[in-house]
Amino acid sequence: MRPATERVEVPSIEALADALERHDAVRFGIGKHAPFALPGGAVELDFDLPEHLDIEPADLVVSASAQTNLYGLQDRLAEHRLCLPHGGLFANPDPVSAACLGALDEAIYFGLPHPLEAQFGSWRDWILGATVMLADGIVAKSGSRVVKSVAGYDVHKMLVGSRGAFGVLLDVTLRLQPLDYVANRVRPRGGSSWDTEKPLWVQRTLPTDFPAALSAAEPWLIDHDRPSNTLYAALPSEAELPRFAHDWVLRANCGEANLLIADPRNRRLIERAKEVFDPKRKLNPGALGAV
Amino acid sequence: MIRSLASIVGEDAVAAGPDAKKAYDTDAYPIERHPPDVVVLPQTTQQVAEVVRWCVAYEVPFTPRGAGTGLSGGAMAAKGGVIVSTKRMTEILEVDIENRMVRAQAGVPNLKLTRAVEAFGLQFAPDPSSQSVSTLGGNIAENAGGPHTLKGGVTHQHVLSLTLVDPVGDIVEIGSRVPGAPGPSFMGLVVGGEGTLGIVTEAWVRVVPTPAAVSTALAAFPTIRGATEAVSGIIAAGLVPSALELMDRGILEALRAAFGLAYPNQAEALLLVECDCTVESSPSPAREVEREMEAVEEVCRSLGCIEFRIARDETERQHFWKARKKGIGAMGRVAPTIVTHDGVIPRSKLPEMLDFVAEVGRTHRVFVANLFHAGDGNLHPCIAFDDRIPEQVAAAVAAGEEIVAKCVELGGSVTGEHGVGIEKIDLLKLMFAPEDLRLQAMSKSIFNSGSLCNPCKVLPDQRGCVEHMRRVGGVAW
Repeated sequence: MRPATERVEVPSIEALADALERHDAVRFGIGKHAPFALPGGAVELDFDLPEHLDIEPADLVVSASAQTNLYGLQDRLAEHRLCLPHGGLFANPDPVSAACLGALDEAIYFGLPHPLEAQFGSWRDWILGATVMLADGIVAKSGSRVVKSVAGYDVHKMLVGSRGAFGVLLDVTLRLQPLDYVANRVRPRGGSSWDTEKPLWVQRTLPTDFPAALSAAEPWLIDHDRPSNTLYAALPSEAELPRFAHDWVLRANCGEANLLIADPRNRRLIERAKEVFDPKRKLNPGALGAV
Repeated sequence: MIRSLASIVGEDAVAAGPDAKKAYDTDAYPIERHPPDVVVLPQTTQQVAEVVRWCVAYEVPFTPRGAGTGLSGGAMAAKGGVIVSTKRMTEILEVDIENRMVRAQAGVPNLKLTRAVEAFGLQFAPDPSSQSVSTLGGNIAENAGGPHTLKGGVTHQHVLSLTLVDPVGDIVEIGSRVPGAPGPSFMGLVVGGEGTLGIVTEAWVRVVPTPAAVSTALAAFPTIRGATEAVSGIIAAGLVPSALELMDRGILEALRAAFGLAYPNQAEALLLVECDCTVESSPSPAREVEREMEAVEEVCRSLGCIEFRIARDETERQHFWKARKKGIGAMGRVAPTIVTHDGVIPRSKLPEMLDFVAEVGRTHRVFVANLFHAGDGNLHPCIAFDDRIPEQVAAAVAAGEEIVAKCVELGGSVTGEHGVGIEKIDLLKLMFAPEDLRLQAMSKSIFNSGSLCNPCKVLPDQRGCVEHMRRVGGVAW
């Protein structure tokens, strides 16, 4: 990966708008997810925005600054017997969660799998609203602070997995679960760690294909999560494993192959969204591949 | 027009007579009416795409429509043109029990999805009250909820992938049968997009295990505040019932008159609580449900519950649910006209909000009863009035507006499950600043940069939609 040529401190919203105005391209929201990022050079934003945390225990909702550290957030939620039901925040992380969990915004930008996903969903299910700075420096919000709303388009859900290509998250509202309810349902699981300098192959299949996928990955297998049919293999970057109908693959430390969005129709939609949200290609250029 | 469209879908699948125009001039939001010029009833995705391409070529507006049970005018042809009905797209195309998913056409009624898999111990979880008739496509368009969304989630969480005919007639696949694919997903825009981003023609949906154990209880409270405090108390105690529904005395009296519902005389509110558990969640589901219901009862008793009755068997359980599901219908005996509102507040604000609703009723001298998804904070105040008396209509309208505005003031939403449609298009400005609405318009333009696909819905200030905006005037019916 090419190193960023310049780092810019962002201590305020105004400074962020200024950075977007002054620079042709900015890179942000990658942090501990760097092994999964696509190569790209741009001015790197170093956020130091004022922190905000608003926990509503009776509503099972939290609003937090997007750069909030997830472990710190989970500790604060635990004081209210609440939690984010992310497997990586419990004592059973998969190798990716164990290595990559850092700030809230990067977790949302990447939206990687986790071991409680089959039971409790993931970021796209938890996100209720967001405040975002668009590429033109305008701040706008989407969604609400209640657990159920169909008022307008859920733009905030589109930001999950977007790798920061459509806007800069400033504030996020998430639905929570009671800590004891989740903790009682976390089942012990095996697994082993992953050296984040090494390549990784993450694959999810249909349940019916998973035994065959596991078998094929056996020599390189690090871990697997049966409820979500996800496997983690320390596969060399030049190697490939068999693919199955409707499966998806995510790679780490494999350069351009890190993000494989093969479906041309999906690529067209992504390109269209990028054109609408960031026509000058300022935000994390190349983060979603060639769009 | 009729000949051209008939060449695509067949002559018997085009209707343009006065009866058809009358039948399709509104959905279940009868305040706004506008007849289509023609109704088409395609049977395949390809036919839908050809109809849309024809509409684009001749600049004719088009509006998708399922069963027409929507409550915000979303399936009404606001600018005339073509109604694309999915009424004949009723095939369940594939049932994949091993992978727990079903592929169905958009016109399949919600309940038929569960019927297709229930023999295998599975169900389609979203259960809007209209589920016997409302369609999969309509549920997707509105991101439909229902009484069990508290635990089971809304439609968005149960759609794996869908086929969309976009506003220029291209066929697009969104999502994947294997969920969680890397990269951005546009599913969250299309589900809940109210048919403004294209026409969903089919979808793969997730089906989930039917609970192995279910327990349902009615908790009676001497005050509505006590019942609402119990809702907050149950949630705050870390309990996750599958349903938490509240009925106030206005509804209870209507139910007693209509169906002989028995409840304690001192009760001002009943809380229906349902707990369930699957074999996948616990090795002993029955014990788990029993434990959870005991905890619910403890919370209710501590907050003044005067009777806590657990259904002894399935018959009694169904009787409890009948009270919940027939409540709005029973209100029909109270007044010639009723309107049911839809707003959301943070659950912790329920006591304050219900006091406010009662006050609004007194101020405007209209009868307001409440029956709603309390666990989600999703209010459905039901206003009874006589629409033949203009003063009562004005009072009902004013009361509704005040209630919805209060939802927003308390940090909530103008709609929890009915959608914005045409009904709440102006009220969206209560929730969102101009830059927020611009953000929404940007997301819409990913799919729809024109003005033909379901015009005048969701976003305010659309070109050529002034007439409807003036007529609605922000009325929250």
